[in-house]
Amino acid sequence: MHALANPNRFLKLAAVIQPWAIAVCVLCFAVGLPYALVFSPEDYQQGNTVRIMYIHVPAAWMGLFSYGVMAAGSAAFLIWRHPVANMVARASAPVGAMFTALCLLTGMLWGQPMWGTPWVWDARLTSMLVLFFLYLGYMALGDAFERQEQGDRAAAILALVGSINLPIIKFSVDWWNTLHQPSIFSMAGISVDSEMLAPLFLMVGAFQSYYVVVILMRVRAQVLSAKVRAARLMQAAG
Amino acid sequence: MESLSAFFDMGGYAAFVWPAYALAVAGLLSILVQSKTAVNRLQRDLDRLRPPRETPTSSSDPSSVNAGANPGEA
Amino acid sequence: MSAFLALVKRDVRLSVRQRADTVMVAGFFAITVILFPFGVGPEPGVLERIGAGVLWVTALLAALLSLDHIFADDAQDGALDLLLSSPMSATALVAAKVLAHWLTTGVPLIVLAPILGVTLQMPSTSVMPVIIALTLGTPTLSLIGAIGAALTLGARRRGVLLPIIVLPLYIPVLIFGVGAVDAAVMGFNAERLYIVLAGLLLIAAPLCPWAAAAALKAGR
Repeated sequence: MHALANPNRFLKLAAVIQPWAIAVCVLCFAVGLPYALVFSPEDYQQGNTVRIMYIHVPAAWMGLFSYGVMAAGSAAFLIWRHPVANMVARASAPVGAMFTALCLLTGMLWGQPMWGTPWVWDARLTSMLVLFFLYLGYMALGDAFERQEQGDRAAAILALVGSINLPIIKFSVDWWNTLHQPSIFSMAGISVDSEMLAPLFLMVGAFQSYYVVVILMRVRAQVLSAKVRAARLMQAAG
Repeated sequence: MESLSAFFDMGGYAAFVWPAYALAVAGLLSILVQSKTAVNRLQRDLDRLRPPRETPTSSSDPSSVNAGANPGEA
Repeated sequence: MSAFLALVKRDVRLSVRQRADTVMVAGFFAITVILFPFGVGPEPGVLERIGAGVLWVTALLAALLSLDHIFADDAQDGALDLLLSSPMSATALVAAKVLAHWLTTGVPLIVLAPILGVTLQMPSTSVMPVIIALTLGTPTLSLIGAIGAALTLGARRRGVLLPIIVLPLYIPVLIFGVGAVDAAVMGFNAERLYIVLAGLLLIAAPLCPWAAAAALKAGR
């Protein structure tokens, strides 16, 4: 792991992984999308709106997964000063925010035909909304300082504080939900037909490999950016 | 093509299912495009500032390791 | 310990002398609460239903307002650097400042809330629960807020940044704080919710000063 702290070595490894990740991603989409849109069955109660699940659930998973990577990278950065770890964390944020937003919006599109209202204060959706704001805070804080390193460290601390808070927030939202909402509104109560599992996993795989592709790109961009900055400094000095 | 129009209709839920997939495509593509353009732009900038040697090497040429380009320096 | 208390006393004395923090927080709290009847109408039932929520959300925002000053003033004149280099641990330093902050801004909220509850037509059975819940909750708000204040020290646009960072973290306190008051008013057992609030405080009390201290040190 510590060998990967060297950005150039990480980039070499990334160059090897990248084509495979792209291949897996394309494959998963190529098989998963037709499965999701055409070959998987309608739901007994929800009809074709259940197809939204094949976007909504993987997006929700990726929103959480990205935050986990962000928190782990932040921890590695703060504890061991692992520069690549911080780059992975910073790279993860906009991607995770996008997935979370996608989860929220598709949740609204799913909710409208199902419950007649686009927004439901379902415990999961509400937690996702809070997660979205945690992403926003992280990104805003990271960019708010003159010195990039200060922004990196502040954002890293915030990521860890957020990750500790997330279960507490989820717990409190769950409790709040039982107080105010009849349980029929819970999005968790969908019985997933076994025929729906395959496209679901394929879509999760597609999103997951997409994530790897994009993160490697974004880390490469950060390394290049640092090199450009250094080269400019040298030019100005020379 | 009866089944094709039925497919697009999504059992009456077309207004919900297709936007959901469209949003997914939009989100995934926008991040992808933005990431790729950033890499391309920065690589171009770097090549301009430090032209690669005549003998083709990979982008991580050894000289760049020592040129103070160490993002780990906090 | 004596250094800790000395710092608390110093901060409280500074704040009292300037009066700005306490007056500002109390004033904002009062004015914002009073806006709600204008907003939702004075019909009986409506205000009573949302009263606890209004009090808590406004208390949150009032606490947020005053967080700016916990570290900023001392950072500006270099006193913060001096304090950080002193033998007192940074965590104790933050804890002292948070305590002083709560004494000057949290306590006025606790005192004012029952009075403002009257303007929201909250029943007399809500007075004690409001006081207890706020007493348990406002220190947690100061503690969590201190992390935000420490993280944004020296940041651009920290006025907008601080709420974005801190408010999501406030949600559990808000949910259980309002829940406790509503439960008590409806005649249910609020003790369990007081315990949850106390639990949140007990978790926050050691962890938040430590995180805020790390943030302060990371920013130097």
